[in-house]
Amino acid sequence: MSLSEANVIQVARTLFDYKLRAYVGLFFSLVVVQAFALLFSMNGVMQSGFGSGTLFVHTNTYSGDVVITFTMLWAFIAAITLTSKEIRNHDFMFVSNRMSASLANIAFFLLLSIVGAMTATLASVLVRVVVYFTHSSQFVTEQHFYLPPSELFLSMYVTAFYLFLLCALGYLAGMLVQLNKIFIVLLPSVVVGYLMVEARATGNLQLIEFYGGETSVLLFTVKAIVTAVLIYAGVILLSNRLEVRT
Amino acid sequence: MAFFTLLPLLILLVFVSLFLLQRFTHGTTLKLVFGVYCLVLIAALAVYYFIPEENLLVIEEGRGPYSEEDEAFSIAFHDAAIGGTLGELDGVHLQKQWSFDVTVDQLKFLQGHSYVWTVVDKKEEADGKVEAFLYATPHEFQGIDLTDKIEPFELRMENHLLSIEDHGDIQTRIRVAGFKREFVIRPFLEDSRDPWAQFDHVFMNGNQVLYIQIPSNVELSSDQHVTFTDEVYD
Repeated sequence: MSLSEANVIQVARTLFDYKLRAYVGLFFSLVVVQAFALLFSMNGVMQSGFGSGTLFVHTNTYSGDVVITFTMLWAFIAAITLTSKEIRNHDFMFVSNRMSASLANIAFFLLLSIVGAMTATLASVLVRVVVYFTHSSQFVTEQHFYLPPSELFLSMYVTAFYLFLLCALGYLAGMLVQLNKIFIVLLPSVVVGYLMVEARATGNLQLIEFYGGETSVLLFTVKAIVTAVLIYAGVILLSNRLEVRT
Repeated sequence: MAFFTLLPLLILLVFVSLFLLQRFTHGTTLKLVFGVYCLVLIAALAVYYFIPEENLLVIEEGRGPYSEEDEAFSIAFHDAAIGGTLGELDGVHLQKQWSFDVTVDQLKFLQGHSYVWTVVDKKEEADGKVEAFLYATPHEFQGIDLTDKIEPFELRMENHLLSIEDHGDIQTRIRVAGFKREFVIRPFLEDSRDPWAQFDHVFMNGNQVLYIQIPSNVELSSDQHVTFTDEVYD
């Protein structure tokens, strides 16, 4: 198939299939990361204790927060790894251009986000099941133990968007570093510095609140999609500035 | 929190699993591990929806720590302990009793870390015996009767020393598990209850009292808080 015959979408699809086979290690690393997160989750996210003269009640609050947070970091790091020069050059084993390579990457990130969101949400269920069977059941509280299917789907849906956003950020960060190595130092400095200044000035992080504080699912979706589109568009523009491999 | 200290470990994990394991492990093995993990998650989901809801502990919001009835019982319990009539009070049972011969006229009582309320009553006669009674009221946590789980402690006497064994580490401990919604969905779901405050509403009740009777010719001293009935009545 010549370049003239192949349209961008077809090439992107071929590349996507290749990435799915070549980077199976990413799914394995997801398992490793979530396994560790599950281990940490078993310690609970908050402990307290109170008692009378003869009775002491030790309480432990559990949730899947650690698993979801670890999965978010996994998505960010996974996206960065896919921007390495070695991996980008693999894309040119196929007849492709920057656009098709970027589209294939975005599609791959979408898949990673969906898989990450599903497994992270189900891991939150696993946390509850393990806690139930490792405690005497009469001392397992009912509040938030059961997540109805609607909440599970909502959790998967929202987490997938968060992961997709973090993939976009990782992809952007990776591309910037490929463009100029100075970003290895500059990016963490700017991000950490900005977060510290804002936290000191306002007491909270407006940027995180913009997404995390949203109470409407529809608005959250719009915000996430618009942000992701802007970031991915920026990355595609940036990638065009990288050297063309012939 | 430890989260940021775990960050380098997490990054290391991703890179190690991504590059090293992928390089040295066959792709089929990696797929198998992922498949098994997914099966475990799906199995957990199936088990999850079969867990009977009625087995779980309900913490009702707004339940006060004490009702008027509890308050009345508490006063009656206090009066009966001072008056030495705990055995006659409904709902109070004798957990254990001891009797020690005493030849000294000065006794020291060591309570250790025990939180048990101790009442000391001087007998009218010098019969050379220290008698002790451990009483307990029904113990309850959120409607669960824990009376059987409340273990009586051991009391021992050596020479002039009357002490609670094991330094009074006698509290019965129970572990309660609570849950909170994951942070990603919390903003979208109306929930007036603060996930961190669910244990503010727990109800627990139960008392233990050690009632010690000493001969009229014996003086008992303690570094810790002990109620002497003659001081109460004076």
